[in-house]
Amino acid sequence: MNINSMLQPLANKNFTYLTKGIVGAVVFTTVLKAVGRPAFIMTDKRNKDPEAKKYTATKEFLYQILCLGLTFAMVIPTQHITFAFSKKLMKGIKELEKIKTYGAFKEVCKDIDEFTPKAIKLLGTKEKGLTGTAREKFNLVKGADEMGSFISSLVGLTIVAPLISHEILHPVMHAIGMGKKDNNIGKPTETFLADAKVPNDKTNRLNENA
Amino acid sequence: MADTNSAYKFTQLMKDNLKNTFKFFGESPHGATIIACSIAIFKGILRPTFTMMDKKSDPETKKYAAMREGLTEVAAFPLYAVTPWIAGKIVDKFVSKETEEFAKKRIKTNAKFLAICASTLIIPAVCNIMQPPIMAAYKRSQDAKKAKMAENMPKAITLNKPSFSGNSLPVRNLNKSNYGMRVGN
Repeated sequence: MNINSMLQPLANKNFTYLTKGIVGAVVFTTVLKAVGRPAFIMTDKRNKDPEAKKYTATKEFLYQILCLGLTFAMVIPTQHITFAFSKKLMKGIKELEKIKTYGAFKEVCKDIDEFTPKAIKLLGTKEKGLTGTAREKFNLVKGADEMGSFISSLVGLTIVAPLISHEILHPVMHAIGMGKKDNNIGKPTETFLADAKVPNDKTNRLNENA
Repeated sequence: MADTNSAYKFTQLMKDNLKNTFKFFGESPHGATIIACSIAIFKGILRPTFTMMDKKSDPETKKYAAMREGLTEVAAFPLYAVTPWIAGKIVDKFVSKETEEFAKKRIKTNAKFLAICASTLIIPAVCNIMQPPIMAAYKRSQDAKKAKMAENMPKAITLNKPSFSGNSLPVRNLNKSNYGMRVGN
């Protein structure tokens, strides 16, 4: 089997739809980080403390899950807002007039060289793909959509996630029973008399005598 | 009139720039590479900044953590930039000439994407190799700095320990003479 035949499965249409966009890249890499990084931490032989490894791996996993959630929470509204503004660019183009909703736009987006059956039905066209001015205008709208995704995922992953992670991850870690035990080192501790189990022989003897 | 003209020119320029940016994002097959590299750059700048801004942590710990975070992204950026480029070159070299142009384009996009995914998995291993010597060197330099500062500091005056033994009168402890709040005396 030569490399050429090994590369041919990469021409898959559906896989290309997932990989060519910015959101696809962000989602795939975040999922890989959520799986790969904790696995790497757990298999790291330099760190000998299994408890520390477990703690770091869980924290990393939760952080990546938070990033994934943030990506969806920020990108989806941005895409809809961007489309609402940028669809004006398609006005007056006969081939694109039927694209009214974001869902329809995404369906055509899947492949503009070779329409999907759904896209053909939606556009009511006999053409194989987009050409000329229609293609140019559609690419502008697609570009606006990609740019919106780019900015929102960048803001989400590099500004919002580090800022809120501390506030969210610590309570979650505590809730699942993985709060860091050495957090209180150096801090004054409160000891309640009721909880203190200090043996007091004199008191015990008095109690026994009573 | 001149103001209106320059404002119009500025608006037109902005419109053109925005259009060009839309065109670039719409037609570029390098979406995955662009976002991965951008995230690495922004994280490399912002994460250490946020760490240094944390008022609760110890300054030394903050510096150490910020440096580690910065180094992680320093390792990530070239990997995200170079691996897709290599993948593209491999596709160009090995895909047969009979393959249709659009299929070749798809193969290239997907190969680049897979290269990004591979980089994501490789980065922790690269950091594990690259970071320890750099961090050790940093720690050594910090220790050397501290030792030098300690040498240059004026030596503390040591007072003779007051003696309370035998029948001698208690000697006033000079160390405590100006310390704390006292009542009377």
